[in-house]
Amino acid sequence: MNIFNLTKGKPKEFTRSSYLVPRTSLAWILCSLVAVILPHVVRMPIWLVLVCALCIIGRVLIFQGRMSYPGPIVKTILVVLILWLMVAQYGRDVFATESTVAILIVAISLKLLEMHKKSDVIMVIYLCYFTVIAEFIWSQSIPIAVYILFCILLISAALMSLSQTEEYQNPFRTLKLSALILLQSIPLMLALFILFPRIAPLWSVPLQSSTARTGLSDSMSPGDIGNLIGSDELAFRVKFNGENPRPAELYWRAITLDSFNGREWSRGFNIEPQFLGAGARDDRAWFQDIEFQGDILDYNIIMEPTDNNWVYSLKIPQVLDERMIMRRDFQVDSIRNISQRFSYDMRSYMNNRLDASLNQRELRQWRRIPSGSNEQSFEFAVNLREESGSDQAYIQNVLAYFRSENFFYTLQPALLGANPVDEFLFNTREGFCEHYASSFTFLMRAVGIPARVVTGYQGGEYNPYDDTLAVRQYDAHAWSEVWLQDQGWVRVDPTAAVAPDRIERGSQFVFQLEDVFLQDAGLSLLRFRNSLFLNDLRYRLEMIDYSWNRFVLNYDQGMQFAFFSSLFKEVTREKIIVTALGFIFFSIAIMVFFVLRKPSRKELHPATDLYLGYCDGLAKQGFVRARGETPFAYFDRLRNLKPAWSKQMCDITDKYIELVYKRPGQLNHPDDVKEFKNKIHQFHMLLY
Amino acid sequence: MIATSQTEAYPKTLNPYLIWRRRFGQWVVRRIPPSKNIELHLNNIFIIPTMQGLGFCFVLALMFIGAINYETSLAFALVFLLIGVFILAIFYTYRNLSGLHLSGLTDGSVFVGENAEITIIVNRHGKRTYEAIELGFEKSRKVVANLIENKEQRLSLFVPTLKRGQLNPGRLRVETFYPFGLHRAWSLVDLDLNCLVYPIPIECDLNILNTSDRDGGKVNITRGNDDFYNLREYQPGDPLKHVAWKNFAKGQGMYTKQYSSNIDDKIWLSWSLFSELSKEDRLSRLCYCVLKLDASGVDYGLDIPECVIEPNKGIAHYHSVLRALALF
Repeated sequence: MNIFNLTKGKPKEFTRSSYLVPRTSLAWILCSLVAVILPHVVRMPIWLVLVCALCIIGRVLIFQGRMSYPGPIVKTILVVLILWLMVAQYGRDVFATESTVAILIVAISLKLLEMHKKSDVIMVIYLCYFTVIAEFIWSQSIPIAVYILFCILLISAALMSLSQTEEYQNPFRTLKLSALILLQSIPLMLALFILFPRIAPLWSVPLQSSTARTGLSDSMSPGDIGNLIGSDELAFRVKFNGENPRPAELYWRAITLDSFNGREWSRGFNIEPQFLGAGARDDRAWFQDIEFQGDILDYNIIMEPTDNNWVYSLKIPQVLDERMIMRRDFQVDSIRNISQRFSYDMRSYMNNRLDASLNQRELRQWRRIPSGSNEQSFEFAVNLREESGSDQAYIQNVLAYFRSENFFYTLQPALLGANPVDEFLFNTREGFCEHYASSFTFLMRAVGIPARVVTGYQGGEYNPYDDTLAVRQYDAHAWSEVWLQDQGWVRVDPTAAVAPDRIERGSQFVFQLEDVFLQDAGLSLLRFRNSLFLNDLRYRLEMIDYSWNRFVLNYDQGMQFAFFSSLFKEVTREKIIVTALGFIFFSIAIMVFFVLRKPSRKELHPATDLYLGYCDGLAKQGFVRARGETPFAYFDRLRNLKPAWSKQMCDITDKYIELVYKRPGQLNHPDDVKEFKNKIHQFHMLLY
Repeated sequence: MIATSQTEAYPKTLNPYLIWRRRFGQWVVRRIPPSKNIELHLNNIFIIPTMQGLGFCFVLALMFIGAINYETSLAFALVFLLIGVFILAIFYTYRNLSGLHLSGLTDGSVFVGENAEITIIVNRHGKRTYEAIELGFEKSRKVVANLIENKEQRLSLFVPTLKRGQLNPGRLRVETFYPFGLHRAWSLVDLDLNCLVYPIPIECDLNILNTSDRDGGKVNITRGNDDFYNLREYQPGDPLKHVAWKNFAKGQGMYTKQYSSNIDDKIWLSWSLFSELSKEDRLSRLCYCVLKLDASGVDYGLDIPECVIEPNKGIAHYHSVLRALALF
C-alpha cells in the first residue's frame, strides 16, 4: 500500500470522451427526432430528408459498434458539402424561415454523429424542442397541436431518461411521469397564456412560400377564377356583430383591377401610395369625398394565409386596424404579407357614395382600353350607347343583352383566342363570371364610362351552430364597378343578369352537377353535404375549428383587455398586475399541491386494509369503532349489542390478530389473506 | 469537533469563493447537526438550477422571441407550458430527496492508507419512490441509489484515510438531478460515523522490546514463543490460531493453547521506546509492535503520556490499545 498515491486527492474519473449515451436515452432521442422531423418533411427537399435518415441510421450503427465516430476530416467535408447543397437549393432564400428550419434539422441530424459528451446529448434535445415549435409557423390546427404535444412528451421523456440510472429505466414509467408533469404544467400555462402581455414582433422575418396556394391572384384573365371552383379550401370566415346580411349582399372585395391589355386585367397605374390607414394623420381629400350612409356592419374576419397583402372587406370599409391601409381604389391591404392565419375587425357602410367627383387624370385612367383589339365589341358598344341615350340606360341595355341573347353560365367555357371579348360576346357566349365582368367592363370603357373589375368572393355558407359565414375558394367571383356622375362608384354584376341563382343561392347550388366543381377537393366532407348526418358533422367540426382560431390562435391584447374588463368595472394597470400575479401564484400553488401532497393512505398490511373495510361495513350499520379501540375491545362491545353476528365477528377478529401479529419472520401465506378476505366478504353479505 | 475540523479544511484566504464556501460549510454545520439517522426534508435540502437548467431557460427565451416574432399563439402556449415544466421540476427534484432516510455504518477501524468502507443505508417510508440519487463523500466515488420497488438500499462508499484519529470524510453529499436534470437538489449530511483510523504500522526491530521491561525482568519475545505450556478453556477474544483445533476436532471442546513465554510475561509498549523518532513515527512503530504482539498472543500494555493501559490480550484489548494510539 502506497500512501503517496492516495494523497493526490480525488480518484480519477473516466475520461470524458468515453461517455456512452445510455441505450434507452438514445432510443428516446432518435424517436423524438424522427417525430420532430416528420411534419417538416413536406417542406424539405428530398435529399435533405435522406441526409437526416442516413445520420439517424449512422448513429444506430455507431451505437452497435459497427461504425466509429466520423473523424474531423469527414465531418468538415460533410458540413461543407451540405452547406453548399443548401445554398444551391435555396439560393438567396437561404435565410428565410423555411430554409433556416431545414438547416436546423440537418444540424441536429449531423450532431447525432458526434454526440460523445453528455452536453452534446443535451444540446440535441434542446434543439429538438426548438425545432418542434417551429412547426407552428406553418400550421396551428388542432391535429398539429396534438401532434406537437406528443413530440414534446417524447423529447421530455428523452431528457428525463438522461438523469435516470440506466439499469432502473422503464420506458413506461418515464413516459408516464413526463406526461404527468406536462399535465400538471397546464394550469400555469393557461394563466400565463391568458395574462402574459403580448408584445409586437421585434423584427420581420421572411417566410418562404414554396407551396403554391390556391386563391385569387392580382391579375385576371379568362379561366382564372373558374379554376378556383374546383377547390373547397377555406378562404376566410366571418362573424357578424348583429344580424347576418343576406348572401346576395355579400360581395367580398379583395382586388381592384384597373389595367386591361385586351386579354388580362391587372393592377396597373393606380397603386400609387395614396392610402389611408387608421393611424394616418393627414386625411386625404379623396377619402373625405366618401359619404358614409346607411347601416353599419361590424364583423370579424379570420382569413387563411394568402402570402399576399390584400384583405377582404365589404363595400365600403372603414379601416379601423393599424395593421392595414386602404388604397385609392378601395382595396384594403395589410402592411405585412399574410403568411399566417390573420384575424381583423372591419366596419362597412352598406350604402355610400364613393368618389362622387373624380379629376380628369383619374377619369382617363379608368377609361383606358388598348386600341387595335376587340374592335367588333368596340363598335357594338358605341352603337348601343347612341341608341340608349344615357349612361344608366346603356348599362341596363348591356345587361339586357346578356340576359336575352343565348349566354351560358358555365365552368367549362370554350377557350378564347386573341380577341377574347369579341369571341365571347359574339361567338362562344359561354363563360364564367370573369368573362362577363371582363367584357362588361370593356363595353363600359369603350364608351367612356370609367369602369373597373373587382375580384373577390361572393356569398358564403352560414354555419347553423355558431352563425359564422364560411367563404371558400369556390365562392370566388368577379364583378364590375362603374363610375357614374353624382353617384360615384356603383357595383354592377353582369353574372347576376345571366345566372341569378349564382348570387341568390351560391355557386355550390349552381355547379353541384358539374364535374369540375370540387374536383380538387379530394375526400372532402363537402362532397357529402347531401347526407344530413355528415353535413351536420361537418358544421360541428367547422364550429370547433372556428372557435379554436378565434379564441386560441388569435388571442391578442384586445381579447386580453376584454378578459380584464369582464372582471373589473374599471381596468387599471395595478389591477392587471395584481390579478396576473395572483393567477400565476395560484396556478403554481395548484401544481405544488399535486406534486408534494402526501400519499393518501399509508401502505397498510393487506389484512389491516381488509379489516378496516370490515369496520367500515359495521360503521354503516351504526357501530362505529371508537378511536383507539382495539379489535378485541371492539368485538367485546359488539358481541353484546349484536349477538347474532357474534360468531362471524369472533372469527374475523381472531383471524385478523393471527395474520397481523405474527412473530417477525413468520410470513403470511397469500392464501391466508385470501381466506380472510372471503370471511369478510361473507360477513358483508350477512350485513345487507 | 467536526465543526472545527471543517474549518481547518479551508485555509484562511482572501479568495471570495473560498470564503463563501467556508461560510457555507459553517452554516451547513449549524443547520444540519450530525445525527445517526437523518430524514431529508425542507430544512436540509438545498436546490439550485444546473447549467443544463440555465441552458433550458436560454432555449425557452429563444423560443419566446420566435413566438413574438411570428405571432404564433400556440408557440406562446408551448413556451408557457415548458416554463411550467421548469418550475414543476423544482418541486419534483425536491420531492426526490424529501422524506428519504439516511444512516451510515462503518466497519469500525482501518489503518491509515487503507480505504475506509462506509455503508450508507437509504430507505423510504410510504409510497413515494426515489430515483437516481447520487451519494458520495468529497473524496470517494459516487454511488447511485434507486428506491423504486425496494424499500431500502445499502451502498458502499470507500474513503481514503490520510490521517490517524477519528475518521473525518467530510459531509456526505446526497444529490439528485432527477427528473430532468434542470435542477440540482442536494443535502450535506453528517451521519455521525464512528470510524477510527489507526496509525500506519511501520516495521521495526522487535528486539527492542526485550530490553524494555518496565519491571526490570527480562522478557524475550522473539524466543520461547512456541514453548507450549498448557491448555485453558477458550475465552472469546483469544487468538484463533492458538485454539487447540486438534482437541476441538476430537469433540473435546474449545481450548486455547498457552505458551511458556506468555504466561506471565508482560510487555509494556512505552513511549520512550523510540525516543529518537518523531511523534508520528513513534506511534507507527508502536502500532507495528501491537500487531506483532497481538499475533503472538503475548500480554502487552501501553504506556504513553496521558494514557496507560494495563497489559492484557484479546481483541478488545487490541482495539483499545490501537484506539489510544489513534487518538493520541
